[in-house]
Amino acid sequence: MEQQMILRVKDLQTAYYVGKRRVNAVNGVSFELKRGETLGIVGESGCGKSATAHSILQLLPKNGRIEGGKVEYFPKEGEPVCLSECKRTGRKMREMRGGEISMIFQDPLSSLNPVYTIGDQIIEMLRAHEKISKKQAAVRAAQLLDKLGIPDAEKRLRDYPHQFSGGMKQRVMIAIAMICNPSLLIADEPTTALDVTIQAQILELMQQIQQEYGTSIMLITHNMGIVAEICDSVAVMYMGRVVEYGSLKQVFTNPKHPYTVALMQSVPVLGMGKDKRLVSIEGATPDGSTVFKGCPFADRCTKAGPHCFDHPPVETEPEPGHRVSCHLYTEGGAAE
Amino acid sequence: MEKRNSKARSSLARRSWQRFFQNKAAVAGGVVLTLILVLCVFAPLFTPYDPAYADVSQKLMPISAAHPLGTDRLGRDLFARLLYGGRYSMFIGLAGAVGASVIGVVLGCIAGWFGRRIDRALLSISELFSVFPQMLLILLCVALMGQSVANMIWVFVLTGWSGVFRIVRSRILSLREEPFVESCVANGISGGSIMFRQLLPNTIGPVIVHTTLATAGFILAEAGLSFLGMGVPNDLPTWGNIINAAKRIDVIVNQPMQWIAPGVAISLFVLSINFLGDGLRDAFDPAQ
Repeated sequence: MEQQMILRVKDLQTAYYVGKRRVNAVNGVSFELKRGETLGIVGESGCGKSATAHSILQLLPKNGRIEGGKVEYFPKEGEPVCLSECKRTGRKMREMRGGEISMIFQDPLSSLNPVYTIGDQIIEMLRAHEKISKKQAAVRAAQLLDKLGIPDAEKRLRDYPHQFSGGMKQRVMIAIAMICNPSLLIADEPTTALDVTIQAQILELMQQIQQEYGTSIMLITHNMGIVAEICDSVAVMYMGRVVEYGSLKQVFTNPKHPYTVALMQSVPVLGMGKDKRLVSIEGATPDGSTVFKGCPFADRCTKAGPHCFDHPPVETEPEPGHRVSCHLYTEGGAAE
Repeated sequence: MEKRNSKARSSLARRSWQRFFQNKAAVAGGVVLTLILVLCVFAPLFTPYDPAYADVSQKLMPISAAHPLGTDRLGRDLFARLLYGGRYSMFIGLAGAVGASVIGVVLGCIAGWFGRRIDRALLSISELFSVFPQMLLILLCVALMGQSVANMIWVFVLTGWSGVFRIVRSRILSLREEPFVESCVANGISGGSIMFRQLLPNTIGPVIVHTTLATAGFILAEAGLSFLGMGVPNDLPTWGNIINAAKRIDVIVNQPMQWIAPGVAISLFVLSINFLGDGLRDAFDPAQ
């Protein structure tokens, strides 16, 4: 039997308006996330990873707009919700945020309100979604913090954010995100601001949460290593498009898109030979407002042929569940 | 060891108070202010006289045991007038400052949070109020609405809110971009709740300071207006009115206590409240 779907994004288009310029941050992104699984979204800075996540929860800044496509969320019971059609500040959207889908952010250091104790902040989130007394909420908050590895949790509820270290703050952020037991957790580069040993702890913690609560995780990162460690499926993004999408095994053992290949070659591996060189991707990410006639990666692609510059690539499926947008895999493509 | 530990866990408020008590000027200001407050609020305990009771047989008495600061031209006890006058002056200053702060905070939150058209409209209104010379505006209002304590307070509230408004608005504008706001939105907290419950407490430090300083400013303004005869009706003994009554060359030369006493009271009060405000600002500045 097919595993239950929790989130389906279809042909999502998001644009930012800067003055009269229009920047296409997300350009026809599609992916699915199954219940209890982890999806990794990787790509360079500015490739639209965060914009995708923000579009899902409608957290875009005022100059950002969803221009097309569909984001569907499938709750445990009841009808699927079309998130992209909800009103941005509406009640429905607010119930979804934090209640069904919650998000943890890149910078735990400034993601907590400095004037409230962390207990107050966790309790506030809980009470925004559930009718529960302050006392009961505090008990639940302490239990969760304890589970998330914060020693002396009951006492630390009364502490202010500045009394926590970076790693501890990220644990608190995870607690705030998890307190209402959401079905989907969107983690926007949750470990980027932390040092390496803490990164590993936080990732482990997220895996532990997933096993215990069956939470689905959408992990946004630029770190291929993290993806390899905890994701079930991967979407590689470039210039607001998903260029390659498939299971972890498919993408990592058999990368199809030249961009994915290049990304993997640019990651240093511990113990790799001294004479081996890291491969860097030539050129820079194009400006976001550029309109491409052909493949957006053609300029920097080592395998690009003349066809690539003139025709947009079509998505193909070289193996079941593994999708690639590249002319190399379409007939009459770039090879010659 | 146990004690050290409890200290390390001390709350933000307690650490702020510790910092406040290290500031000698602020503490002195606080002490003087409290003293004046106690004297004025419990005035009947400190003076047996009615400040409005005129005993012409006792007019222009020098300093004596019966009259600690002497009496004025109508034979009213100066000390009693000073204490009862302090009540009015302080009430006008404080009510004006608090009223102005409340309006400023609410409008500032709204303008900073919603931005765009609402912000522009409110900002223009506040600029209108702040570019217009305050004294002139006050004189105009007094001329239109007449002299009374309530009118005086209204005038101060109307002319004073733009300062707090701009402090709060600019703080909210920058706080709005903080990641913790995004985190609140992402966790389903409503806009109104973020505006008043999450962001407002972050701005309250400068607002408290501004309110204390504005209190001092309004007391000075009240004294100035009363001195000009445009403030509170003459029969109420505010500090400004007491000085106003001494506004004659023979009084200035022959009965210096008539104007020195209220002058010192005003100066002491304003100075101490300024020191206190400065101390509070340093103590509650979250950046330290």
